[in-house]
Amino acid sequence: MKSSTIRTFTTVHTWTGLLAGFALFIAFYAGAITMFHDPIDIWALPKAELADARVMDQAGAMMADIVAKHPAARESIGVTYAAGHPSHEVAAYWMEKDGTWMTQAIDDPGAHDAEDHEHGLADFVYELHYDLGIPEIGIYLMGIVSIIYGLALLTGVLIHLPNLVRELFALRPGHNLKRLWQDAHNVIGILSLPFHIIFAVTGALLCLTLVALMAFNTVIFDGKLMSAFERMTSALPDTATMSATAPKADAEMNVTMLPPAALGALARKAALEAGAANFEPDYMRYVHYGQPGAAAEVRGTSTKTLGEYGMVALDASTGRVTHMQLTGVRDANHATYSAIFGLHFGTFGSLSLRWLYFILGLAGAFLFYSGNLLYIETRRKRRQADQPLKVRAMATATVGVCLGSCLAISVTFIANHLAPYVGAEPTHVVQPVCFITFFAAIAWTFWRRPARAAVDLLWATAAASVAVGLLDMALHGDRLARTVAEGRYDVLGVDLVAIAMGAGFGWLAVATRRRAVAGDPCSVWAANAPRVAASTTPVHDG
Amino acid sequence: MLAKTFAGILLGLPLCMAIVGLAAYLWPGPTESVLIPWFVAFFPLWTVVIAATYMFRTGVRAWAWLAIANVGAFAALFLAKHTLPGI
Repeated sequence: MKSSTIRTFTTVHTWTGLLAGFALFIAFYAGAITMFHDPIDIWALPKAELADARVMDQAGAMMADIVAKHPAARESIGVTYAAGHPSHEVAAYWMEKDGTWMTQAIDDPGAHDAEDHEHGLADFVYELHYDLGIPEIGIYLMGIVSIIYGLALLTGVLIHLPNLVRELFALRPGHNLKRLWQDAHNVIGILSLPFHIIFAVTGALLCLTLVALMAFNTVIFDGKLMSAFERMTSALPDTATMSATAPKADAEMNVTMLPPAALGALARKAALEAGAANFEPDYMRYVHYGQPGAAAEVRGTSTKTLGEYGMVALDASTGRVTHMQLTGVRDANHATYSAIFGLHFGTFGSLSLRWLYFILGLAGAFLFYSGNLLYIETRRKRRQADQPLKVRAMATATVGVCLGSCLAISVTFIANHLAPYVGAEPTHVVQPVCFITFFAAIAWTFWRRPARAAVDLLWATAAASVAVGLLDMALHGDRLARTVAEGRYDVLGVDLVAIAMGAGFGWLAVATRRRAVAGDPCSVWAANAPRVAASTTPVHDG
Repeated sequence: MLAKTFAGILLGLPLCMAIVGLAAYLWPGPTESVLIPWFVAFFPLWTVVIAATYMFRTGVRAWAWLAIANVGAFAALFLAKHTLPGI
């Protein structure tokens, strides 16, 4: 490759990193934590108990009641099955005539707008990772960030290609700190490249599928894609065609529907007979509830497959299985669609895979952080304490946003546990506490300058993370003892990982302080830089 | 540099949509049978086109060539739509 081409791609890599790096740091840090969504959900609700599987027996009556009160739900109404973590309640979802999604949980007295609900801790961290807490447009922004991330990944590999083999395992500690950071950035980038390719592709798809589908629908497929997409991703035949061919609905005519629990059991039986290792129903929907020809589609998860989601379509009144789209018996569309989710959420393996994704996710966050450090190191003035504005701005933003988001998430965990003691609902406090801490950390970075603020914020994050574990042990020690005695290690795991991460942040704080005190004084990272007489040479931008 | 960037983003988008559409139409068997795999290929393809656009010598050349490629791709798509079964 010509050196001018490499220079061009280096510029592209720098700019894409600048544009997407901060958002990606938050996405990867919060996303890594989300690998343990269910344990955190259990941890966050010490008083809640898992929904009893018998709750599902009441779901049939609830559906009939909803359809009687909301005729629009007859067209299509879904319900979630009880699952292994507390905030996954049994709730029905349907769309009213005006297009608003409604929901009603099994112990709710009535229906309410599905958008009006507060998020618990685990769901909040999960949402943070794909919309940064920005309502409405956040998810699309993250989709664009994913595309920029793909471009950064591609250009990064191209730049590094000439030295790839020679420097694959090179990590050269020594006086040249830029060399060390460059080696660390390259080795993590290359060794976790497959993981990053997966996330660049699936991240863009998960955020932008709807937008891209609408574009393809209009420009390429002449308006026929939307209904085809439904066929390509569900087990039911086209619901629009079903409506057209269904006998005219008659208010008198009301076919009895099999309840969700029974349909789930039938679907599981069919899935196991078709060769799935197992099949745990997690969501089902009725189409044309109560009418002749009504259908049901049960979605469930199977192990020992890349795409865990599978679907079984049944006749909703007789329970006869009509279609199946699950592991081993599905077409290319369903297999691919299911694999997107499996690869992104790391559901195609057991606990060890989730740990691997967690570690790779933190390594990804490090990749973006080290990219920013390299930006600073490349543009550092080596003979003067005063650094150019863009170097100072980058240092402030890196410390404030990256370390600030780590601190904010740890403090949010603490707030979740302390909220009930000040008379607040945890679901009401997690979001404000997270944002207030985040912006306070940024303000602190401006005030203290990045060199000192980095040490402060790392110590604060270390203390907050250790406190997460200790606080839970102190406040809910009885629950910890009970769950461990029952052989469930979710709560203990969250406590110990929080403390371990606190120790890790403490180590980073010590190392950062060492650099601030003893490192090169001609750096933005020097805490007590001797104010060398204002440099007489003008500052040239790199 | 900026001209090439916008050429890659703005003209690369319809070009990649047309290529993915063509691939779906031309695939042997029903168009619908492998539509999702082709759809998944769209974002990576666009990324590669954006990166490849920087290889043009000037911004003007990038715009010109990508415009020609778009015309070609959409012409082929038009033909495919009117001769092949589609969805």
